[in-house]
Amino acid sequence: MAVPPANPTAREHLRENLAPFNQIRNALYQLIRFMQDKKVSVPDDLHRMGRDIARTFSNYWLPPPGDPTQVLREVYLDVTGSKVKVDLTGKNVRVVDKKCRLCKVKYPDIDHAGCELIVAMIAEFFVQARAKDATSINLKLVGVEESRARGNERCVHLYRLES
Amino acid sequence: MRALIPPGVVGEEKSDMSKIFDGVITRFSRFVGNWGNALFYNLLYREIFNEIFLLSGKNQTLALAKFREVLSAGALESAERHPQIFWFFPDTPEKALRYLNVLWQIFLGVEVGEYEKIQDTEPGTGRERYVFRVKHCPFCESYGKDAEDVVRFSPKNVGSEGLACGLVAMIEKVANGYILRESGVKAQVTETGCKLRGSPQLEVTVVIIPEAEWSERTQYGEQRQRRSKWGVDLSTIDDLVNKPLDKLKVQVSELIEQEAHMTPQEVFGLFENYEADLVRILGFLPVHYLNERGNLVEKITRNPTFSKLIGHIFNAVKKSAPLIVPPEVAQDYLNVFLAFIEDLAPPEMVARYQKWGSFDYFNLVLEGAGMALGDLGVNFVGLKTNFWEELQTAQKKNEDIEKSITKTTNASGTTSFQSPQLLNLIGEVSELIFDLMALPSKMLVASSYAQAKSIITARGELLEALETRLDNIFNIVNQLREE
Repeated sequence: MAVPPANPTAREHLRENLAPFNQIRNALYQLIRFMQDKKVSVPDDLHRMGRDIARTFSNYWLPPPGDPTQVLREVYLDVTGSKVKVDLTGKNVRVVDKKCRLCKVKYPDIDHAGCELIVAMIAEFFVQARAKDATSINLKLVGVEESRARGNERCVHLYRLES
Repeated sequence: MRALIPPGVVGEEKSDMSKIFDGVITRFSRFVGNWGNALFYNLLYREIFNEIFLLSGKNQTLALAKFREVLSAGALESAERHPQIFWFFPDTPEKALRYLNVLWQIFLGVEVGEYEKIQDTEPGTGRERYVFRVKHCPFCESYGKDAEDVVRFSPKNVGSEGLACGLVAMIEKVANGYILRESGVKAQVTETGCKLRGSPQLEVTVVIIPEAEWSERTQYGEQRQRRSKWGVDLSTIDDLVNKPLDKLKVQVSELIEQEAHMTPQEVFGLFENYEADLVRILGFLPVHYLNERGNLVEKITRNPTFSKLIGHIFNAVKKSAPLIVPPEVAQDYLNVFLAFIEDLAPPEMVARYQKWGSFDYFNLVLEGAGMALGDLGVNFVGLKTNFWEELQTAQKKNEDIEKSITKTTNASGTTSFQSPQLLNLIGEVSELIFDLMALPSKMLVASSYAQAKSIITARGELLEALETRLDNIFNIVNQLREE
């Protein structure tokens, strides 16, 4: 029988566990309402949050080596829990996520997608991995093309590979 | 009252049945949940607080209050989508708090771990109070080690709320909105010890407040319905298991008098000389009742593969029951039935039932269930000798079935068929049924040939097997949903 970790809630052990995102996803949209009230740029702030998450997360885990399509699939699955479809056309990367962890419904008073945070987080993972010589993939964030939070049927995230 | 509680055991010793219900509720929450990495969750929680802190002009008091509001609103929205998760929680604070671990898992996906529970009264007010000292805080353990942990919590305010106040607010909102809704009291849940403020552990204090004095009169409260229509909650399960007939007899009598305007003796008297039919009805009705809840059975049997699958599983159970279930146990089922009808049916009818053999009753119940399944679309006549043959035949003829079997090409270039998750699911469901059917044999063998310790071991093994099977079934269903 495996011995449970001495401190199961330490970040290195949390990395090996799963958590339900339903409540915190809803809370993120409450935060977006607060951001709208405060008249800040919601996408910019969500991007900052996503980058900070990736910077901390990358102290405990980095994307595995491999070709961009496969690696992106694994990063999405490992971090967000989503099985995504990745299309690579030239330098353009298109990720289709039908069950995005941060988007579920369209709220009438919100026009922003929670997954703005995810796209910034994913791109930052590769910045961190490159800084640590763990990958040669240079992935730049382009944006969120479609989102369930904007009324679409799925979320579509766009990136660009740069040399 | 003080107790240091090991992981997985909450408040006080629970029965095996309650533990299985804990498992079912936490697995149901997994089923309806969207799961991602726990570290991502943890850091997203931190970032929501950081953002609120920045937008609140770096005023920590304002930020903590807003953080509570944001997280609790998120939890309430989820509870409104899946209120059935909370139907089975007991609605008295003392009993509900025994299920802290279940709530913790619903929100965080992990067990609460070691904690100390102190039950006393709040100084000054004399209100009922519970203090939980949780050894490992899910949010503070690693906080401060990474550069992005920017907000600093002052140790000067040891008793003030800290980073876990968002989680605490989620529990408070759901407890008051759903679990304690009809109890006449509310729970004020606050974080009274934060590791980041120098407390040796996370401390959560719950004070029970009469509803009339509760300041937060929620505007949604009136529309919300917490209780299950079945009138059952986790704390009454042990009573139901120990004295199932007493409660059932009263309910059946009331139902007969209310719906048929006859006494139970008059109704059961209608079946005099048709005793076998009455028993068949006992197998027949539950299947139709199950179907009444959204035509569940009919929806399943509309799919020819599932219809055949149900037919095969039912036939396997019917054939195996006399081999696996000991006659003593079959007799016990008959005895339970006799105990149930002895006050409700005419004495002559009861006397005829008393002459029955141990498997007569058992087989007739199964026969009734089979008739109901036939009504609802299971075609027993056309079944092949086993389900694998059905799949092979269907694979040749039916494009839909072919799609359910994943075609793969291995490294050597040859093509093979990979067992689909559907087959794994069939296997797990069948194993679960046979594990349940084998229980009485295991217990009897253990009690006849060994010591009490073996009986306990057999029971423990079965519970472990059930938990594993349920886990596997939930995992496979989740994978099927993902695909």
